[in-house]
Amino acid sequence: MAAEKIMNKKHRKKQDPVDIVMSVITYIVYTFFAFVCVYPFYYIFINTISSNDLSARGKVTFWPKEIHFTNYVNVSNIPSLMSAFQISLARTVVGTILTVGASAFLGYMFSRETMWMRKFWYRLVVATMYFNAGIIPFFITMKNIGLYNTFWVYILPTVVAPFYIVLCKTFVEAVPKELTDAAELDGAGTMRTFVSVIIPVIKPILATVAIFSAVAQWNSFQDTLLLVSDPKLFTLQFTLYQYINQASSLKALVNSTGNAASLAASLAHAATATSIRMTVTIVVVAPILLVYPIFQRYFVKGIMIGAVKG
Amino acid sequence: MKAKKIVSLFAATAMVVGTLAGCGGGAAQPAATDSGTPAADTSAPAATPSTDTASSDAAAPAADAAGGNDLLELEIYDAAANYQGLQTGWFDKVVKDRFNLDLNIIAPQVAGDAIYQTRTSSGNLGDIVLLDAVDFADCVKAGLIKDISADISNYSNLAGFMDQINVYNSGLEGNSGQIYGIPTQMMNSSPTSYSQDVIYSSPLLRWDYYKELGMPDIADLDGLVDVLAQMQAAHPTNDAGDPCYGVSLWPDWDGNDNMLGIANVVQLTTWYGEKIKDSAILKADGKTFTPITDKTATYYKMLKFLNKLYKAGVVDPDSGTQDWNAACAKMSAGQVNMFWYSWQVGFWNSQERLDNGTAMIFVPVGDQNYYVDADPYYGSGRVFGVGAGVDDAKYKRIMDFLDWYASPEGLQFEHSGIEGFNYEVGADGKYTAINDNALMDNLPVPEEYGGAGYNDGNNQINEWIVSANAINPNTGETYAKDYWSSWKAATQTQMKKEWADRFGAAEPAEWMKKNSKLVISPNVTVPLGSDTADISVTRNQCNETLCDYSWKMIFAEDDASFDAMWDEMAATMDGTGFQDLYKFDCEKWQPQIDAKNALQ
Amino acid sequence: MNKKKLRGYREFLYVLPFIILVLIFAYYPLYGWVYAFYDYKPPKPLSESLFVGFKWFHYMVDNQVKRKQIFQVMLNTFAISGLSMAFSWFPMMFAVFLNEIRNKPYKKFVQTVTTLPNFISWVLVYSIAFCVFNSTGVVNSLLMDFGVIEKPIMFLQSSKHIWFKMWLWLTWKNAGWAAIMYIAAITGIDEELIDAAKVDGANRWKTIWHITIPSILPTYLVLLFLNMANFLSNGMEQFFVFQNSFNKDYIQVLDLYVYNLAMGGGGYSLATAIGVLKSVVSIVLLCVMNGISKLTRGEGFI
Repeated sequence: MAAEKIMNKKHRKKQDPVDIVMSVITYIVYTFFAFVCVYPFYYIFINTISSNDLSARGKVTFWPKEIHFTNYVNVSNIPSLMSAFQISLARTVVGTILTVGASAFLGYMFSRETMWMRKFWYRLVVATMYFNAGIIPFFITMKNIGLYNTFWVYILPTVVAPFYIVLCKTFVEAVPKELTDAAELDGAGTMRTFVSVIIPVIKPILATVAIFSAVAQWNSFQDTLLLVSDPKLFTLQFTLYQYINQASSLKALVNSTGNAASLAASLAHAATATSIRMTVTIVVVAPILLVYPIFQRYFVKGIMIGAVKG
Repeated sequence: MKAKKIVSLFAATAMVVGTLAGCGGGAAQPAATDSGTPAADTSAPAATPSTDTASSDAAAPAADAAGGNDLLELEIYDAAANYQGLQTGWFDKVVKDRFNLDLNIIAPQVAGDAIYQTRTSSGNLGDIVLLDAVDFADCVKAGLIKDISADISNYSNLAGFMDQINVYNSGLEGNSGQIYGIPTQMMNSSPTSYSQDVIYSSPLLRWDYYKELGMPDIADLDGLVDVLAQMQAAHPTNDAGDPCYGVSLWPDWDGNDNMLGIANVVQLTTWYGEKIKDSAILKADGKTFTPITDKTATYYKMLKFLNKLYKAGVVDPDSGTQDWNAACAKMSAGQVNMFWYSWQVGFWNSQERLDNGTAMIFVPVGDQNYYVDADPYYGSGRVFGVGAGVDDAKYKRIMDFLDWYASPEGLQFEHSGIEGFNYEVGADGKYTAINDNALMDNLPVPEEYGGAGYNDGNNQINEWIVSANAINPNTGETYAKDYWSSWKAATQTQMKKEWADRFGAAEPAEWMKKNSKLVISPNVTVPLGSDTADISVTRNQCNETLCDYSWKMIFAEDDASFDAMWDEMAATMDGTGFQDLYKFDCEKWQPQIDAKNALQ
Repeated sequence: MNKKKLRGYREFLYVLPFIILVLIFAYYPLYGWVYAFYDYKPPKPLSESLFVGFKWFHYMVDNQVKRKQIFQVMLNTFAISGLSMAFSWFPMMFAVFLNEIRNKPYKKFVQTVTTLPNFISWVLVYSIAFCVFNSTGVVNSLLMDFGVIEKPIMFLQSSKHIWFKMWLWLTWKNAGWAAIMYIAAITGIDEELIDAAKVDGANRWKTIWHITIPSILPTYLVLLFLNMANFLSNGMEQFFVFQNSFNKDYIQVLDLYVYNLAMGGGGYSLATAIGVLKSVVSIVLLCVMNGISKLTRGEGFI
């Protein structure tokens, strides 16, 4: 921390006029962009705590009105929310670790020219980015290999993620050759080089991959929808998705029931679908925002490759 | 160290290969691959708490339904549900107490088309299956539904509807006497009578505004445009100062549920006795079809009506871009002066507004003649069935459950709620509703009945073998509280009296019957042919064209451009195969028309 | 010599488990492409469906009206993809200039909040857009209060500049998120290089131009090439929520068009056929891009 400050001071000699102009413009542009990004979120938040009636009529734009927290109370009352949270957490942790590990490892291996038929295998993996077999064969495959209705259906299909592998490979390739050569001269094998030389240097991109894959795992509900019918394995996102849908898809009720009174009641209940969607958005994003700074740590400080080089 | 790693790598590889080779068996425990991946390196594989237990539990097949009355989970593939997952709360307790069953509901409305495609492709839709009639017939053909003919007559409550069940099943293609499906919402009245007080679609106006105008007779649609324009001139905003409109439409329902075109317009066509069946319009005689693109038929007429409303300045300008929720918010804020679906009143009419006369109610238009489907004696269109894959023990428990589901006891729970919580039994044996906001406000249910919120614990199957308007043998009144004498007495208001004085009938449907303004179409559930792949795509394409042009026509500035767009639309639709579609739909619906006419 | 070969095999064995995963989860299901050659409609099994050869592959162009439609759809697809390609440097520059901000808390704040829109689902984005831009929404109210307009403008119905507007929404939603990759890339730059430049008296603009950008260019190019191969896929959610009858002619991209046609099961074969075509086009584009990369940079990116 202190060292950092000294470093900064060192840079801050005389300000070049071009730098000053650039700084001003930068600050203006970023402040504007930040506002454009924050306001909708703020808007969502104040709408979740304002009277749903006013919110539905678009009356809440700048500050909350008639503050209440029933939306959040309702969400917290969804049955089995805790177990869904655990499943989500588990899939996020396990899935992210495996995906990051595999991406880093494969990114490294595919950059090693010694590997047998390296290009072919690499292309085989990358090409899958552009394939989509369709849901029916995918479903049948999952069923046949016994992944249907298991926890691993969340994990295994995402382990090898071509996009992340490409990202990692680009980074690995930027690592100076002398580094790995030096390690290998010291007698380190493929694995040792990977662990002790490559991983430390490509940490920033690993953090990126971790963020991307963690968020993807956390937000995913399509796989639960198609491949899991056991309520014990429902994820948080899926449970909340159901909750939203329950409130917003009442067309069936409208078309099927003859019971006008209960119908009217359910409809009035459903009119807050947008509030529910907003509440769920806040509930889902909050944990992400809490965890995000941990990852950001990896971006703050530059890597001193020279230091590693020794 | 290194050697160990390589060995574990080989082991893992072998397991993965084994998994691949074991296709179909499902024997390979996928957990094995776990050790495989991180063995390849680096990141800590240790921290994976408790998830393993969850997955191994789940991996055990749910089909081990051996014993007599152990807790058993039934998967219900339910086209009507808008909830996916286990039934909870009070209805769960009711079912558990009697049958020790867990109901696990699979809801395509939550999951989308994909779940139907994938589950049918694997040959097992669910233990209990509830589908729309068209899909049900397809699934019978594909061998996904169990033949229940041998047993159904042993179940007295179901057997009480044998006539209706037979009629439905005999219509299944290539069927020789087997029984597969049980229709839903059946009644014991008659297939040609109509016993409700209101109909699904009719013009509903703000009563106080209508009174202000002196309760004029409205002769035709032009008269209705005038009335709405006058209302809006007198009340340009609601009490909160938001703009009011004659009508507010929404596009996100378009093209669903056996209709082509704008959903709102499709409903309006019933005001002139016609009924849209996909791409065809069934004329008021109940016998002949005409294409939806026919300029002399009602789709054109009602579209033109909406365009006239637009030109009179009473159409909500956001109609083409808002979703249903936004439209509902306007309904409940009093920003809309005319409704046309019966359920819309749920967003505005309250006991208070009925008392002070500001509620919405049917106002007849002279030249109109309202189409309505008769009581669902033969069922309302959806069908229950049993999955082909269930074993005998499970089968028996499913049938026990379904029989109860159609019994008076079951129906009281489904339609009337819990005795002592939703209703009380009077000295005369009749019921009186209590806690009638239980559903709306999700009132907490006492622990003895299962706890949790009432709405949360409500029956999530959301479809019934017997209609809520059927007569409960215990009371001689309907299951639904709306027609209980106690309920009617409690909800009688000054406004209803004024209405009755003005129009000379107690209820809208009664007025229509009295003045011969009601076209009651006999109600039959007939298996219908399903779309081929070609027709399905053509249907989507024609529907897109029809909807897009229709919306533009509503907002057309003059008749000339309105008609020009109509012609362009018809040409485009023809170019994408509309004629084939129309021919297909006429043939598809003919069996239903024949069956209807046979009843008259 | 032999030892090297052995090592090659051993390294292959390391990646073999992953290759097997790819084969299971990505290649094995490709047998599903046969559905494109049938009139398939669930629940009827494939074995009972009619084999129709390449019917679905030329379904979209088999008469004049459909050709006219698909032409417009392709035009939209190209325009929208083209726009996002043309501005694909935006997240990169966003990251580069963000890195120049010296005020750490402010930088962190910007970096965090600009990722927020990524977490708002498109459905909700539309809800918000509707609240802001409807006939009585904030924008129209303000414009009318100031007397700029007399009648509300129907922003969401208009198809004017719709491609550009869609690009704006997409950028708003994704730029901050995509910038993360570039921020990582910038963090990976050897500080010695920057220090050396500063010693040489380079101002910040020059440092960016001569050091930062060249260092992260490989990442940018690889991502650009990968995206270009995906030219025909715009995704459909964004366009699905923003589409309405008034702007559909110009907003309907290929993915959305196929979705609209294939809804409801009967379009499964058609959707599969289009999927196959798209995959083929992508792979061809990928090869072309790789060739171009080889010619211009001296090395392929895959």
